[in-house]
Amino acid sequence: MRIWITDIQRFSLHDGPGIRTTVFFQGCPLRCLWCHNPECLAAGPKLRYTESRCMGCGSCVTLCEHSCHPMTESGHVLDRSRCQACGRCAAECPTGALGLIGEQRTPEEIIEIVARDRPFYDASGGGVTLSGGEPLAQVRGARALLRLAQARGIHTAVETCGYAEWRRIAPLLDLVDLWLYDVKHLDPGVHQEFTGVPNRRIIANLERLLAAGAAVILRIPLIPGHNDGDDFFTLLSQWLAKHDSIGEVHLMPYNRLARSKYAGLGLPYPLGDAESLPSTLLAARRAALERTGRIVRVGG
Amino acid sequence: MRAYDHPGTSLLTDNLPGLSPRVEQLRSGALDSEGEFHQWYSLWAESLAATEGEPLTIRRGKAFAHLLEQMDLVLPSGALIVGRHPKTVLDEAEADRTRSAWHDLANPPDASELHYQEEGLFRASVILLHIAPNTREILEHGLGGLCRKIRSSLETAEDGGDFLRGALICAEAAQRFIGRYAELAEREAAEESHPQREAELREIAENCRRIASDPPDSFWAGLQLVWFIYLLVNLEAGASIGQSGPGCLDRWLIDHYHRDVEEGRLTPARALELLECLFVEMNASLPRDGILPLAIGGLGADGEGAENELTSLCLRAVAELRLLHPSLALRVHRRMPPELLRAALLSIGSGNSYPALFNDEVCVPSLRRSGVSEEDSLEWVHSICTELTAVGKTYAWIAAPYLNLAKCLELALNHGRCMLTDRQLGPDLGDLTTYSDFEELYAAYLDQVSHVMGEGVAAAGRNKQQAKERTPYPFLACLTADCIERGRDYTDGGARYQPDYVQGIGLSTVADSLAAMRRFMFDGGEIPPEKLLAAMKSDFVGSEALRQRLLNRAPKFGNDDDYADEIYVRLVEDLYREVNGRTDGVGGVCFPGFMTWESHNLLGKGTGASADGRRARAALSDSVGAVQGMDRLGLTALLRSVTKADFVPSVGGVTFNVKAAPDLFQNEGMLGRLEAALRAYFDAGGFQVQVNVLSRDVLAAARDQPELHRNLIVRVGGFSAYFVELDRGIQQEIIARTMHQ
Ligand code: SF4
Ligand code: SF4
Repeated sequence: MRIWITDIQRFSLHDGPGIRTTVFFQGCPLRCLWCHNPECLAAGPKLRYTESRCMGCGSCVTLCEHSCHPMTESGHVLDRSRCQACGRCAAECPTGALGLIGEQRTPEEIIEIVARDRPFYDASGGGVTLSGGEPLAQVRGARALLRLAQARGIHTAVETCGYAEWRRIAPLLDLVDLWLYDVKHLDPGVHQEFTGVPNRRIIANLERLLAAGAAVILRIPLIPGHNDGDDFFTLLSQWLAKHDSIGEVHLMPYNRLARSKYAGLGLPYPLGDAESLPSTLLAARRAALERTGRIVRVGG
Repeated sequence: MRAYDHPGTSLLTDNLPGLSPRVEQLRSGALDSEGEFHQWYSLWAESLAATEGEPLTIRRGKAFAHLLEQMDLVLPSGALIVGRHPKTVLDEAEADRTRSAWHDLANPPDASELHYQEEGLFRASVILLHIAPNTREILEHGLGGLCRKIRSSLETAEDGGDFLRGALICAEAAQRFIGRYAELAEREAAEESHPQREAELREIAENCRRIASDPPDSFWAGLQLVWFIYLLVNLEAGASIGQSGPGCLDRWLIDHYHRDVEEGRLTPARALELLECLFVEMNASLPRDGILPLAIGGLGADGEGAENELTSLCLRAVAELRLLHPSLALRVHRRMPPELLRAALLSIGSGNSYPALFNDEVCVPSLRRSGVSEEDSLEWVHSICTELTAVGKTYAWIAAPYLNLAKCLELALNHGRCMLTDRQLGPDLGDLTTYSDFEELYAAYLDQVSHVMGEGVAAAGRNKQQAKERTPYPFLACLTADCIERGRDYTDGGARYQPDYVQGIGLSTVADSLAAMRRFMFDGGEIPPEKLLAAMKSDFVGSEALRQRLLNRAPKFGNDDDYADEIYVRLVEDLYREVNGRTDGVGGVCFPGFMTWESHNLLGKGTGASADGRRARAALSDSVGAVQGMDRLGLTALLRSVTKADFVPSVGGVTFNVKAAPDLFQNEGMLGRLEAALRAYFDAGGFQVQVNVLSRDVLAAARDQPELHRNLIVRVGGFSAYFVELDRGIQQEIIARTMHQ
């Protein structure tokens, strides 16, 4: 069994308690406008190109069988229209300007890397976090990986958008120590508009998780102009009032750092010129949630 | 979770008043003081001119005594700890004249003869001190006790009479010097109108009177004695003081502290103020480029922690004062109260960069392994970067030498010839194209190391011989076991321990270079050896794509990648093997280390391009850290890589710099993670870590607008400096070094 992943990131500090290693799965059923991991949206390799690192050596020009690397007067350019993401050019690019993101690894290979930081998990109360993308989109791989982690006594967390059939989630219940559960909006229409899917199933799954006694931290990506308004926070407070078992909420304020990732993948940036969230608004939202008696962390 | 309850740690957080107005005033006075230490040269020369023909040790003793008799005394208003190296203002020409008059008479070991750093082979300079004096003995027996000991040795001495007479001259001069301060304080007390200050001055006078011959009877007097001894040991060494430490303050003075507190003579707040006054004095008397190492806490004889209230107060004083000196080190171990590590991180997080953290569970065994007795190994100091020495018992030779490992590899790749000058510097064992496999290349590298080390240690021995012939240290001998008992000078076999530290420089540069050659040439033959060698010899001019490939596509140490890390471990172990058993011919025994100081820059300037993609003349890697910017997988991977090697044998020192972004300090959760990472690193056998809190933006801004960032303190290779005072090369390097999260 192999899992499509983009990265295994060690010394992760914002994806659950302690020092963690985060495994980024590929594939996601949502299409959030603000997605900050666009390389994780669909499974499969993607060619990344960082123009500023190109030294114009030309080795990619001859390597590519699809003529994606024309040399112009101003130097090397990448023409993605015929690119098959075969990775030949990336494997030889000396500067790392070209890179292939997305590879298949077995759960055993992944756990070997994860286990390397075992002493740091033990010292800090950390562990492994499955993120992405959406780990539930490769649920068999996720399950196998979680099993391996559990067998080694490594704390497990899954960061999910919650959009999956319950029968995919249920088998994971015993394997996941902590769910980092994304909630983007509680209004179905608004949710559909900005994520491409309605939120009924997401909320239903969340409530079933809570009913099953799972440990859950709510994660709210806070996007200017989308879910930072009073309407959502009023709904959220009402919902929280009915769900005492949620003890902790993380606010993940929008930042613009993902913009360069889109450029590197040759993708348009859907959120255009959105500004970062004003700090006064962030503080107000945080205070409002703290009044519901929750621990609120900004940035996880 | 607490290891155990410890009374001292409450002092870390107790609500003591911050810097008192007195300390504030002394602090700014010390920072603003103008002038240089010119008086030292003229007084020393004056005495030497009058003693021509006498034995050298007597002459140096008399010069020391003359200095102490004539030197200006300084007693700033409000001071509680007295004794300051006076500064005077001279115009440049006059200052030059003074210095050269001294130089002609003193004939110090000649630095120009003593550097062998052309073509970056090694550096073997004359670096004395780098120890801490045995003030513990003076605290127990007083200077009077010391004089009695010298006199009784003199009675039975068969030879060594001159040395002991010189030592006695020094010890008696020290007594009189302290007496001069007693008189000054009395005079000032008589004129003081403010009754509280008058009482303070009287107590200062009383403290000085007592400790001029007897052991101190209070914490205050004890602290005063520690400072005098420190100052005097340094004044014997030269005008520019501060290449040594004052010793184990917290251990030595805790009984005094307890007694005073119990008897109601001292409060924790007053003790803190006294420590702060002491630290201010350090900054007033030391030049900017001096270093004053102070190691606190650590293991005690019972296997428990020896940390106490004074450990906490020292941490607190350093955090409050935010000054360059002392260079504080916390000796961390598993049973240390966790509050101390937390307080240390908070101090670092405030931009202070102190303390450095040393793993006592590695350092103590490291000293033991180098032949230091169990008892002596518990009192050590990093003298002055990260070299370990047993306090009060050691004649350490620090640069014996700084050995350029990257140069050794260069010679192995190029028929023993320098790639920059083409001069033959080592044996011709072949070149990159003649080795049939990796093992042959590696063996040639080791042969070059062996050859260069032979030359380097011999050069160090010659330097040491010069020091012995030209600069006996009769006063330092009084403060170093077992010089008086043996009747031999500090530089002449008197000291109980006489280690020479052979420092391997450029470790990761070599590891990465070997890894790249192994991967690209010996594994698959992707890069022809002729091509790589030619590219290196031409400093990659015209081969930029090749260089980029070496930089970006080769395995690199510091990423928990066994391919590169195994080579690193092998290099470390082979350096130990090479150093072991060597001696300098002047009584010293060689021990390995990786302490770099600024040698990675200086030696890098003489080193050709390397196979890791480094350009010719660029800096080498720093101590045991990854090549600058090459540790790309975050802190845990780097910590894992570095702990694959066993650094217990590296008693010569290991400096491991970690740069942490400010947000790691921003809240409890993040601090807890950082603390856990460091604990795991220590549990895995980490020797030392220096955490710097920096953001690239701040540094870049500081580089471009130095006038706005004069307060920014950074540590480079174990020493602190004001960032804006560093040269641009080092600034660039600090900026380039990977930031961890
Ligand atoms: S990934 Fe393959 S198809 Fe795409 S540009 Fe590179 S070589 Fe051409
Ligand atoms: S191989 Fe890389 S560096 Fe060379 S031209 Fe192509 S993208 Fe640029």
